[in-house]
Amino acid sequence: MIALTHMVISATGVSLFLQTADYRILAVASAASLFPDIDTSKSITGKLVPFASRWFERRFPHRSCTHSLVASFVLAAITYPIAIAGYLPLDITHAINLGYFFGYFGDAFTANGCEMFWPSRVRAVWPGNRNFRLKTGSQIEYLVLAILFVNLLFIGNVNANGGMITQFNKLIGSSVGVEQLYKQQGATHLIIAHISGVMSDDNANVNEDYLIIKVQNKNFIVQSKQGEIYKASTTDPNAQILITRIAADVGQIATTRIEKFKLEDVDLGKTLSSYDKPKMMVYVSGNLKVDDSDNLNLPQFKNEFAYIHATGANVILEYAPLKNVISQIGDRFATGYLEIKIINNV
Amino acid sequence: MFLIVVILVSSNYSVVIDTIQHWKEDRQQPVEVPEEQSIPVIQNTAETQSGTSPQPDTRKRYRKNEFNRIVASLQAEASILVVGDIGSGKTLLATDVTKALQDEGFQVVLIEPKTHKQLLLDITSQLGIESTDVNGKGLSLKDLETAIAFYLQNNIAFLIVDDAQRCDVRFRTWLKNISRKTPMLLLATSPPKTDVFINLARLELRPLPEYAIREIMEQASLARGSNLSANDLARLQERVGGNPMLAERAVDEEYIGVDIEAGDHKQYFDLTPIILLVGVAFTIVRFIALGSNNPALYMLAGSSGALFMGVSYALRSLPRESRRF
Repeated sequence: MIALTHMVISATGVSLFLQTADYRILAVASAASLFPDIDTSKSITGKLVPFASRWFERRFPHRSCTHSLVASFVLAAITYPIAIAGYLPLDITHAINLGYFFGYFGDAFTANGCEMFWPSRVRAVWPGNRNFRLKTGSQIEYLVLAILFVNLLFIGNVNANGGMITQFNKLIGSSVGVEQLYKQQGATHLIIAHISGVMSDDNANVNEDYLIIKVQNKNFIVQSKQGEIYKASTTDPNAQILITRIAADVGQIATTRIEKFKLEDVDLGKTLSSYDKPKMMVYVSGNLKVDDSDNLNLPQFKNEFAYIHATGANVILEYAPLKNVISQIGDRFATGYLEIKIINNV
Repeated sequence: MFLIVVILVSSNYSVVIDTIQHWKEDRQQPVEVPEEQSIPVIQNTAETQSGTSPQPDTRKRYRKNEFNRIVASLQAEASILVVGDIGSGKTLLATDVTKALQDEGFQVVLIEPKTHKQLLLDITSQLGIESTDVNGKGLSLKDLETAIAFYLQNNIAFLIVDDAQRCDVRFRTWLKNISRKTPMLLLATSPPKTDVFINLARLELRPLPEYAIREIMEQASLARGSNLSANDLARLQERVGGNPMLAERAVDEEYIGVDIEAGDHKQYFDLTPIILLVGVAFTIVRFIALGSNNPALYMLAGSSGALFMGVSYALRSLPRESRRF
């Protein structure tokens, strides 16, 4: 098997196993895939370390001990302690070991296979009929190489877009998948939901992208591109959007943090305006007692999520956009508790 | 009177040594002695090959243990079946054993597959038994069998049959009948588990170690003047699988420039069952995903499991490799 085929097999395998499209990791895996061929002086690695390759080829058949699980075990026994000691990144260590494994595993497709179970001398092959196995440098090998390369591009693309599970979640449009993605990536990235469904009040069709602000069981608090807040759900009849299909993508990098504090008759607008900064999406939740509650003029929500409502002097906020809170009750003094969710879109 | 130290090969290859005083006449009970004493010393030096070849044997013997065990077994009147692949060195072993026993003064009959009657005539010829009656008429098969059996009952002679699996059933049945009283060595490739083969203690010839194969290839290369490099030999050794005949053949093929990559040995392991196991593993993960309410993992594991099982099935459905060239 030619070196390029080894490299592509390893890069594909490592991309699949580690769910990564990081070119550095794939490059390390590709390089590691060439090391089993240290047992022949005509290989790239054999030429790099001629003393080692000559030692091997004087004693062993090609594709024997260096193409075995024993060699993998030895490599792991060397590299993982170094990684644990902090001298080698763990993902690079995985790439070295998996890359090495795929390097000789690919040789099982060749006419003579490899001694994968060395010191046993049986040669692992696949498939059993040699007529269907690859001949080194043949046209079939180049065809296989081309197919593998397309696979590598496809898998790399899938991994660059959140990984295999994310893509499957998108495919099946399940709310559980979106919930999982939000838990995994929501703290570091914007999560954009593609929601198909209907508006609960007028059965108007919905097929848009929304920013997920919060996930509560199978309910999602989302914001449209126009800034409107909705509750979307597959089961809750009080939600504004009834979901028939939901998928999600990992968006731009964005850090999320939550701040909680207590207010004691303070100027609400002055307090909240310190959070009003560019590239920051701020959502306010809490329960406040405001002065001059008789003159409160809160918006009436018909088709939107009621992120703010009042009961007497008590104002209840639930993921209310900061600008709306400042414009609607910012001119008052308030007492109570607030929780502010800040999504810093860097 | 002479002393013979022998090894009895039991099923688990434990060694028992018999001390025999003139065992032609007076066989005594075996006496256990340390193993080191039991192994006749065989030097790794050039030996003259007995049998049909007049050429001196310059080969280095790599199957010393098997040779010693066979010789000791025969001397202890225990018949033995040697099983090995084609080219594993059975014939060489047979001629070596023949020579070793002849050198010790024993009568040895070395035969190769022929028709039943030809085999019997071959045996009578080598043992010096008359194969005609008083009128000069050839003996019938039954009479030949009886004459040989009678001779073997009253004389000590070893019977060595190479490629015994190719002998016909009647001859093998006759061998089975005389095997209890006549020490014999049968050498066979993939013999059936019937008649005389199932009766005898079996010794399997393992592939030769890599160093031995490399030495054989180096010698073959030198003999042909091709002087292959270590890199060439390592590459050729891939398709040898510990078989000395294939080792020489690989050098020959390289010498005449035949472009062959796969070997003809039997040391290949088809990974297809492992692919099926991967499919089974994915199926297990699918059930875990079902239990943990993870539809994406369920779908991924389910489809991957189906894919691997399908590939495994497809690979098993591929036409088998022809056993003919």
